[in-house]
Amino acid sequence: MCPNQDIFESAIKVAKMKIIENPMLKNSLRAAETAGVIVLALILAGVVQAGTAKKVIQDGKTYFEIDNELFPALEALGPPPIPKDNPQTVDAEGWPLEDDPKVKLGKMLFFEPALSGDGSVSCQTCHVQGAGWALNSAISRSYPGQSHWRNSQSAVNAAYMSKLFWDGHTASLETQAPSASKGLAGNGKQDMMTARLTVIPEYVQMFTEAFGSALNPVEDSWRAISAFERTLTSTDSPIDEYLRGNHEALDEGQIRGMDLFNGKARCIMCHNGKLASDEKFYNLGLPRQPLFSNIAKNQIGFRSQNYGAGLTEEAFRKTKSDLGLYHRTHNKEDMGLFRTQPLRFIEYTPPYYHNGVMDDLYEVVEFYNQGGGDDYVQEDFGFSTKTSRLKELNLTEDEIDDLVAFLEGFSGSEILMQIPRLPKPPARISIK
Amino acid sequence: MNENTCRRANPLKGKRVGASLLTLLAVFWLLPGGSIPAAAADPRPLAPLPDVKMPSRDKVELGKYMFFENRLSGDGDRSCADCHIPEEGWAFPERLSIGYPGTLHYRNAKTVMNSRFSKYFYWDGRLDGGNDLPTQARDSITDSHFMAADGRVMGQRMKQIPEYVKMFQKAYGGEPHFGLIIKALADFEKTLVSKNVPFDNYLKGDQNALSAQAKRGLELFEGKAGCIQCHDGFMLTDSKPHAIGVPVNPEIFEVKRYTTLRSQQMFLGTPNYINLRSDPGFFGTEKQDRFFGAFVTPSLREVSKTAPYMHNGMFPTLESVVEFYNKGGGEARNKDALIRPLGLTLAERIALVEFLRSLSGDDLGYRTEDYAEDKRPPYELLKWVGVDN
Repeated sequence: MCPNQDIFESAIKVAKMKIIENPMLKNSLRAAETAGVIVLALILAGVVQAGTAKKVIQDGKTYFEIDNELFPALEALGPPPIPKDNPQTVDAEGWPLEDDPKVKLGKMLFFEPALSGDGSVSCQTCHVQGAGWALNSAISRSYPGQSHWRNSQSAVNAAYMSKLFWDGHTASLETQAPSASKGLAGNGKQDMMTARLTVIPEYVQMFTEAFGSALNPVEDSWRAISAFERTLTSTDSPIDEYLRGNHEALDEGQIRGMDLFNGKARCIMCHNGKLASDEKFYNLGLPRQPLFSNIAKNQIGFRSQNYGAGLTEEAFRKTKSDLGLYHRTHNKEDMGLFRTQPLRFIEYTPPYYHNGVMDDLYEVVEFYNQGGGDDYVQEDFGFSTKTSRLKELNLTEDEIDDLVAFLEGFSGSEILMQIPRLPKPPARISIK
Repeated sequence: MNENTCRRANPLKGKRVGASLLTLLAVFWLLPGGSIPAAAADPRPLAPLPDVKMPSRDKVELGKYMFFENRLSGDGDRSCADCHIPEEGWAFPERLSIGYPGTLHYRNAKTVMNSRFSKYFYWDGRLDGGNDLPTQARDSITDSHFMAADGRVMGQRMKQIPEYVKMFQKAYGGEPHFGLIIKALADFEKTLVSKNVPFDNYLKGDQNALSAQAKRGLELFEGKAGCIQCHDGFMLTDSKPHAIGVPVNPEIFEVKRYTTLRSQQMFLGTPNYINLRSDPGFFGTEKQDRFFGAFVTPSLREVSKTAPYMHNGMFPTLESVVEFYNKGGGEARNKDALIRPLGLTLAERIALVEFLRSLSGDDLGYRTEDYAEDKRPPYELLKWVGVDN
């Protein structure tokens, strides 16, 4: 398929979305299809352009149009969704309550190192509250003696995501927690963690209060931690305020930056909707992380993850950088693809990307301005999976300033809390 | 504990008793509160260790390094040799073993000497022995309270050590992976066989190999003391579970040890694991009440070097062990009927201990310090782009 045809068909799709309900317009659409009259399609869709962004309103919802495709506009964040199989109490507006016994327990367990192999690693080890509930290091930590291979992401607003981890390999907080605790991060083993929790009477009491029993403390730990994480939300960012109608929340430069975000800079193509992420997967042509070619232990972590994921012999031997989504699907076209990162709270969470190769937002914007980078998949495997969405943006220096200023508007107040007192087991166990 | 690693063993398999006796035993076992009857009604004669073939030198050389290699544990802090210390009879010198960092064990580590002849592994006999040494190595490397390693990671760790890569290639014709690591360990362990054992030499015809006192002890062993009823055959064990009433070691209630006990018994699926007041032993393997507190008879080879004794290290010396049996063992609800007061005189007890000392061979010459961290090859940075992983 030639690229022009691709664009044309996208345009038709845009038009169709608008007119599909109207039989009178179907003929026009057919005419448009036949004649290839893109302009007609755009008029039918009701495009409004001001600045560089093309705003489209359909059924009361706002979209931005780029390359003849529609992308949902950013929206202010409301309360996070709460799964039916792990209920927790909420206030009248649906915000999770912090004094829920499950949340209180989950908060303690988030800081509890008993939930790891040697009792030395907690969630907080890699999701440090002083570092935006992430880790201020390109590559995250692993248990002692081992190295990790990806950047630690913030636990803040993870509650809104349906694809956790950079390759999206879990779909809920409840499954994210064990994957981290039992895997490369924590080396936790179910039997030992269960025993460690059950010898602490205070926890037995808290599990019983929150879950009705203390018989499955490890599984219930993941539920409690998830409930706590649903209170770790950042929804007070200037952008959220602006989107709620407070037009003073962003300054003029930021508003210009927003126009670029939605238009010329093409950010909205992936960073859209409520989360500022479409939760889809793309290869941006990110640079390789030199920490893998420079440090022996990191090479072990890297190969172990590839080996453990059951890569094909060829992929295992040849890959020298993270293959992302391919780890889950084993489809070649998914090599080097990573889930779009949500943008809230980013001010607190450098460095950026799955391999932490970029230290600040200027570096990030400059990278996109150049149309992304060379595709390491191309280098290792001879074919490219880099997304066609990235193009040279020709942003001026002023525009880059504006865009970065806007991106900074995604971060509200820092979330800091008193570390809860953790209960200790008795020195000796007595069984009655 | 690795969920894939638990393989049931059954020390009741292959009983060496007649069919009629079997029926009789079965009836007896069904009686409520019945104790475990004599398992070795016809004990096999004691015999010297058989001659065995040793693995090739390359395999053993590699296995040696693996045995002392702490990077084969999750956080790189434990090796096989931490609990099976060569200088301590390849066992652990304290009552209860250590464990993975953050854990402590609730049993005494057994020696790995002559383990190639073991029918079952561990005090609770939960693993098949014999030719399956690699499985024991795998369990100990992956269990949460031993070395807590992920085998997939271990393979890649060894690949980061070029010297080892060469050794794996030379020994097994392949690159390091977990299967070869446990195979190398097993091949090394196959060489840990008692050498120049006085008792074996005696059985082979050297009348001077045993002192007169040891010979008297042997006589008691096979006669008045009745040891041979359970400690029979060339390994001096019937490989069957018996409860003899060893006192509970109060250290198991220290929180880290009790946590391990609870963790492991939960993993084994032991009924009521949450309320255990003592080590359930073979009950954790077979889950029948009559096995509660029973442990598989240990071999007596190298016994003089492996103090303290019993599954929980409750006896510091051979003398205290003999004294325990002389008094008719301890209290246990499933206590074996074979354990009863022996009426041994002091001289007889000394003779018996003297005999037990004749079951140990020469020091094999391994020294832990020869395999200390600075004597093992380090991780090395591998060439990255442009080279196959």
